[in-house]
Amino acid sequence: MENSAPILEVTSLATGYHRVKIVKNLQLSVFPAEIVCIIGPNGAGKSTVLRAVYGFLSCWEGNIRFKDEDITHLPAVKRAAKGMALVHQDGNIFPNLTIQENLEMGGYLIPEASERRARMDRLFAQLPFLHEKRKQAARSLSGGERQLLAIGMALMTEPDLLLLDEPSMGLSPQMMDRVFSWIVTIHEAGKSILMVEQNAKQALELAHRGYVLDLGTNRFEGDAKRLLDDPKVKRLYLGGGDINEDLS
Amino acid sequence: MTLILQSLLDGLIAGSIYALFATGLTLIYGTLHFINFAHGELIMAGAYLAYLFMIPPLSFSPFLSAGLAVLGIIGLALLMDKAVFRPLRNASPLLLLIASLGISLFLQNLAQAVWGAEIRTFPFSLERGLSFGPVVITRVQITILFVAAATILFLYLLLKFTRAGKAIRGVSDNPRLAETFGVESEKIIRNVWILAAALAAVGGVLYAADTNLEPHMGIINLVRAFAAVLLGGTGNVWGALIGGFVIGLSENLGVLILPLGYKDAIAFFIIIILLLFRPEGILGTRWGVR
Repeated sequence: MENSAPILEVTSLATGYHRVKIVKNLQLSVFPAEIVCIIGPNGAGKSTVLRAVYGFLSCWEGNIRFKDEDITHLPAVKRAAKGMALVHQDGNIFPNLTIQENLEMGGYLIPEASERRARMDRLFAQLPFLHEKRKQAARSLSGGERQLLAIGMALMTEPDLLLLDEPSMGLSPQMMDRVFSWIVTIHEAGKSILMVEQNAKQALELAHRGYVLDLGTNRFEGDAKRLLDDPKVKRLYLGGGDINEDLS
Repeated sequence: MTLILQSLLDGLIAGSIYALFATGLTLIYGTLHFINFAHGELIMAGAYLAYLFMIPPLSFSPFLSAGLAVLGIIGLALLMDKAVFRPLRNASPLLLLIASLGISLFLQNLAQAVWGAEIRTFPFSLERGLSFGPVVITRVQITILFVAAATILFLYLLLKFTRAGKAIRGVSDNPRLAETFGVESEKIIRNVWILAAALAAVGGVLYAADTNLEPHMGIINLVRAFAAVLLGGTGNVWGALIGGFVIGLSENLGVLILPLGYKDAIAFFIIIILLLFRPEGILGTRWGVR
């Protein structure tokens, strides 16, 4: 996988809110058809990285390249057209629009109504509950259903890179499995995925590579399976292992 | 009984006009999050512009005059946005509200300087009303009802079924998410101004056709629209629509009990009651153009 050029390459990124620097000197890359996962403790700046990659936060230092193009200073509103999609951690649906209208908004950039329809039908085939409830306001959905809808909306533009911000946040274990297994399906359809997850263990199990973020910079990176087995990562970030044993 | 039926009909006619004012006001609130005090002056200017086209030397037909007035008011609203509101796009809603109040006073006084303070009427020839059993309706009033209904239907189809209309609702429901999907908010804001201005101008012409024109006609209609918006829950288009009818009916039924001079107080009274007891509106729960 690493023999081709990365689809997304973040070099020496620094960003933050107001004047507080949250992320500094961050290196990150995603290769075509790869699932990459960013894990780390609360407040490590995981979501901040995604927001900066999508352009909702400006880059203070460093640069971001996507599909061989420098997009460091491209406004967020222009990024969907480049083949990137972001699923926000919260506020990721239009609560007062119907489910069908939500999906239409996801495909806002597709000019032909027939093409929007066709893509929507393909999504309905994968998620029949959305079809059943298509005329209901999206606010009537459960948390897990909302998350699935939000991912579905992001897929409407058929992006090359899908950015997922805490997709399992607040979900029941069954719903979490459903979301994760759908992420695998999306990947099998050839998409690259960069996700931020609180639920580090499960996320690393389905990812190819992982980055461990702490205090705004990458501490560890590498093969997801190796990170899972790494005793230091395990002790510090996966909540597993016995402290006394690891101290030896 | 006859009096009640007649008041219901008059209330329905007035309500259909107020509904046009209120939907426009709530659309602006839903996307830009401030109450545009100059909305009343879009109404007033729409009526005066149509009047200008109807009287000699131009003497255009009422429909052509109204159409030209709508275009003129769309231009005025876009100019207002470009000159005042756009530079203040990220300012606090209070600042925007005060700026709109400034525009409102400016336009009122400009109108008074140009046309004088006297009351004017459209140059329609007087006609006898048509009687339907106990109630009387004029042909102008029938036209008002028809035009208002057609405008409301147009608004419904636009917001519900077109891509541009859905984008307006999307931006007001969740602006960040709309941006994520590539919706350019400035484009949407421009469309909302066009829509709100057209609704104000059509309503203004209908209002002047039903009653008369004077430079300060905007303020009382802003108050009515504001009461209707509060009734419906701010940002809720269909709530504002129903709110408009409620205000029209309350005014016309209210004067059966209250002295006629208190008619204009009814909308204020409804605003006070709502703000005291149900600031989120009767129909609305959250904001967003629905």
